[in-house]
Amino acid sequence: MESFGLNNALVEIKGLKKFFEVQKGFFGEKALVKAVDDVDLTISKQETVGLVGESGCGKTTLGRLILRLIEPTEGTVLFEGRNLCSCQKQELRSVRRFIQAIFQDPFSSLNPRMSVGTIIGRNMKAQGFKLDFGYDRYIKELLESVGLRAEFTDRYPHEFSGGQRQRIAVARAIATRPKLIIADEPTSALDVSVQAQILNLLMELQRSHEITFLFISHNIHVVKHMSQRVGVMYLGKIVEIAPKERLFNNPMHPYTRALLGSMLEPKPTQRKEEVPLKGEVPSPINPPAGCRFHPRCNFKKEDCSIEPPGLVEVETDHYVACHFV
Amino acid sequence: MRETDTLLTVQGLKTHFFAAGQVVRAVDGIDFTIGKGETVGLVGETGCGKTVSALSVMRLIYYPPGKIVDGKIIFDGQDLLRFSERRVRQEIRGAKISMIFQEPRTSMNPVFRIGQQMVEVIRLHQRLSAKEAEKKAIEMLEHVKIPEASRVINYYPHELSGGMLQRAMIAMELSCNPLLFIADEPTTALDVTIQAQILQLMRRMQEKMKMAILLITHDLGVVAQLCRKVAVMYAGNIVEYGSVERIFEHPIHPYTGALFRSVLGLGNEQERLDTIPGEVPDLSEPPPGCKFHPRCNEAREVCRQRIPERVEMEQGHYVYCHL
Repeated sequence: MESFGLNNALVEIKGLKKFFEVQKGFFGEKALVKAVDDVDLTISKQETVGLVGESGCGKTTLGRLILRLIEPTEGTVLFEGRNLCSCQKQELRSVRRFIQAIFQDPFSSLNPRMSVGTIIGRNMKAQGFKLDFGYDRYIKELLESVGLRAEFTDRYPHEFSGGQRQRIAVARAIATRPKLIIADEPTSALDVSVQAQILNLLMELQRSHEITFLFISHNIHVVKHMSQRVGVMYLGKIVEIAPKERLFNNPMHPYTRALLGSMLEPKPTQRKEEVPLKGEVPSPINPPAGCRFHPRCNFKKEDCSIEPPGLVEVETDHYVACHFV
Repeated sequence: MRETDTLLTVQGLKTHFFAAGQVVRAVDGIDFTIGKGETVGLVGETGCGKTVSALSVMRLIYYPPGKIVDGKIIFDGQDLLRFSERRVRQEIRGAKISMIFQEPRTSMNPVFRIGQQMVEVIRLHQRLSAKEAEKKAIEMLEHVKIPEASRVINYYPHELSGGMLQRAMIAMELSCNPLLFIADEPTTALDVTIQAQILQLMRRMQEKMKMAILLITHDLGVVAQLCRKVAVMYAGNIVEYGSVERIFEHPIHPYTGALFRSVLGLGNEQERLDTIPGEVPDLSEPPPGCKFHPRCNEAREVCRQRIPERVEMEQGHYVYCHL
């Protein structure tokens, strides 16, 4: 449904769903959390797609589904034309080398009992990435390429600051020469001056290593800075997706407008007195019928509570899921 | 500012931590004032001493390992550092100065109902019967726009969302009409749309109750939205202090400037962001002279040797820098 040449697509996601079963109360009935509900998304080669949304909107679950760290309930994820959802273990392992991840918290994503060299080397071996020359030299070069010193290979994670740890996580991710990196809140745990260093590093690596990024964050400023295309998620669905300039200059979905309206400009001359959005995100267990945003929407009409809107292309490459655009 | 308008004066405050034979100089000689009904922001990166400064004002630093080693905290005309612990608990903490934290879920006791916790606070500082205190609790919850407040007081903290719980925390802390309200990263754990609601609530409550606010945050956007004055901290010191407009438009200290240039959304639209080289120093062995000099582009010989004094650039705008 998106107008990207098939040859250019690295990842094609179609009708992807992930429902978690939960028990309500102690003896209560089983209920379904619709974490990701019927998502279509295409990511082109060497593109950065950003995903924004509030906590619980399903952005992390979507990332984990692409990595197939969790099994989807329904739908397909094609990576270079191969369906990851139906891959057997062996085949999956050979593909996974090309899909790596960077997570939010560098304090829990690095094994504290392994040296930096082991952390990176283990990942390469586990993914079946083989080298003709010594692993040691390769890892040292990797560390230097992410702005660390080569002799850090023998040190342990606790000896490093948050920013340095995130650099180690980046080195681990690029070690297997991946084509796609899923960066899930990679700078959310870092201070702003360090955040800027990591964002610069990711952009440099993208250029030098020809990497495609899926950049997941709740921080709209960061997503805007990093991405070429941005998708907005709400309660398991993508409600709007467009090239960055179009999304930020001409947001169409009422939720996108409210979300952009709550961005705090760090300028004392632009104070916001009005709150753009009242209420809170409803529970993803039994989400509202029809358009999931309708209980909080200022423009809702009768239809909105009955018929769920699909993504419609309103201008080139700009898709919106709303009855009134 | 006239003396009578000043609510809090912190002078030469030093709070150090003693552990494993080392002295960590978490707060190392800071001065600032807060006027009555004024909102002051305290910004800086992790570990710069923002929270320890606030805890010192609340007298929540306990030895071991922490100790206020020097300085004065004059609040409403009295030096808090001369108060006994008992007197601080009865007259100050929760009564004249109250505080909320980043994570409301860890600030509330999970095994007591919201109402019970609020009533306890109210009755500790005000002579009210249990009935009256409960009425007051419901009233406060209504003030912070919690729907169905008379039902919510019977809820346990886990039954409320993060945003609602932070509202309840604000209601609880404001229930004794404090003169100073300290908010330590009050919206950092919340989503942006909820953050906007909480900031608006804080602004409205301030208009209504006229308390002063000390807002601690790493988010310059939050400061710009809420504060009148801002103090920028680095490695245990305040490096610049003044009105929000002055500091956001004309930062003078090299650290303030560098911090602003690394923030997205401040017109920093170029692809490569400016960064501050290196990392925050270890506060058990801080560099001599100006603590920022190893990372400063403009450092000179004098910066390595002498601690910079306070310079008043124009009225109310102070900078600690040799340049």
